[in-house]
Amino acid sequence: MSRSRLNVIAPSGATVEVDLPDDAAVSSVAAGVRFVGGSFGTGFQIGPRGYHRFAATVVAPATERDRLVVHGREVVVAEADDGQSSWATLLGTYHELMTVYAGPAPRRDRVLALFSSLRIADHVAGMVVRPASATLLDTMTEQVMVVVKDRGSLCVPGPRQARGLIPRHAGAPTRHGEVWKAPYPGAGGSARAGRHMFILGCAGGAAEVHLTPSPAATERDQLAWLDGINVSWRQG
Amino acid sequence: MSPTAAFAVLTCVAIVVLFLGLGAVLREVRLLRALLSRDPDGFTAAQPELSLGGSFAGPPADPADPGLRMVVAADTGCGLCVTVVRRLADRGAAATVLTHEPAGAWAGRAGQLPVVTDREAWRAIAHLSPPVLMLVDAAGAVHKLLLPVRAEQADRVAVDWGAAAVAEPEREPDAADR
Repeated sequence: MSRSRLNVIAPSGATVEVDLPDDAAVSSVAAGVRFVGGSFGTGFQIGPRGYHRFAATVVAPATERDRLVVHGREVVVAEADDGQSSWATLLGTYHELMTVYAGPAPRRDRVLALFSSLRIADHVAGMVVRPASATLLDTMTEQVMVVVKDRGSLCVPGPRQARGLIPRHAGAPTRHGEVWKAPYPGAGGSARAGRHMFILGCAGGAAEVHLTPSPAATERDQLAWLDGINVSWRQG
Repeated sequence: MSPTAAFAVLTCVAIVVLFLGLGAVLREVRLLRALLSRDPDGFTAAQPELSLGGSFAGPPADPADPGLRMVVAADTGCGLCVTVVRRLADRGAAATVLTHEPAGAWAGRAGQLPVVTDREAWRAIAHLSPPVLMLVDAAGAVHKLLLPVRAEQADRVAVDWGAAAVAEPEREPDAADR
């Protein structure tokens, strides 16, 4: 078993280093960011290329409504077949930047104005998205999601939010920090690891860990994996 | 026609012409506004900062050779990967296939292309959507990286990167190729 390290560039431009204790394959990396200013707020998701197509075929079957060009890149607008939601995605060089709307697809000028107000830098390790200074918007929250095959998923909140995630009482020690267990709704006092979410606090960052039941790994393997995770933020 | 009727007709024509003129001016203003809001720095793509390490490092056989080689990271579970690898093999391109699977999985699919199984190198690009086309130097560092959306793009890239000879294009390149 060898250790593996993943460096992901978060939407704010900072880098998250995720150390995993074994060589289980990382199957997906995604990020989320929310901008706010005054009474206005808007959220985006960043995924690998093909994210929009995956959402439109698997998550909510959808029909393409519009295509336009913003910052020299293509933006695709799709509307779910049930009419309950719609989303617009900017297709970058390495990643895609998506925002979701409630209800039917918005008008082209609204989509154009939204994506035009962003400054986007696409790196192989992640996409940096910032609002243009003239918009007076600020990054409120960001998080990075890492999904590991046969183990589970990690949701790493930005350093500012991590402070609110960590409980005030001491947790159980792990190799790189402490861990707390929080039951999922409906866990009904079960002691099984699969009925709980784990909050992992390390010296340089925190993460919510969700273990995924898998025939290829026992609960013990997954808890051993949880014990060896280290998360740390580095300012970009 | 009486002078009064002629004056009324002329006035109506003048009003219509003025309205058309105003419409044209407003259209120009709208186009100008769109031009101003278009910011060339709005989207930038950074050069890749990746290294594939050991398996891809090594001095070129010929010292005059810059040592750049084409690597295709592919997975047999992805249709476009298999198509791209097969196309490159059919064209006799000088490319190496990087995969995380046992090399046997590519038997009969990769033609004469060498297949390298390197989970460590794969981890560097695992978060991107395969197939990943890379131009790698003698130290294993990635100089260029491209995620093709169409199989023909791989042909064009192979020619641009000097991994394959120029062939007749099947169609004119369009905006998606740039």
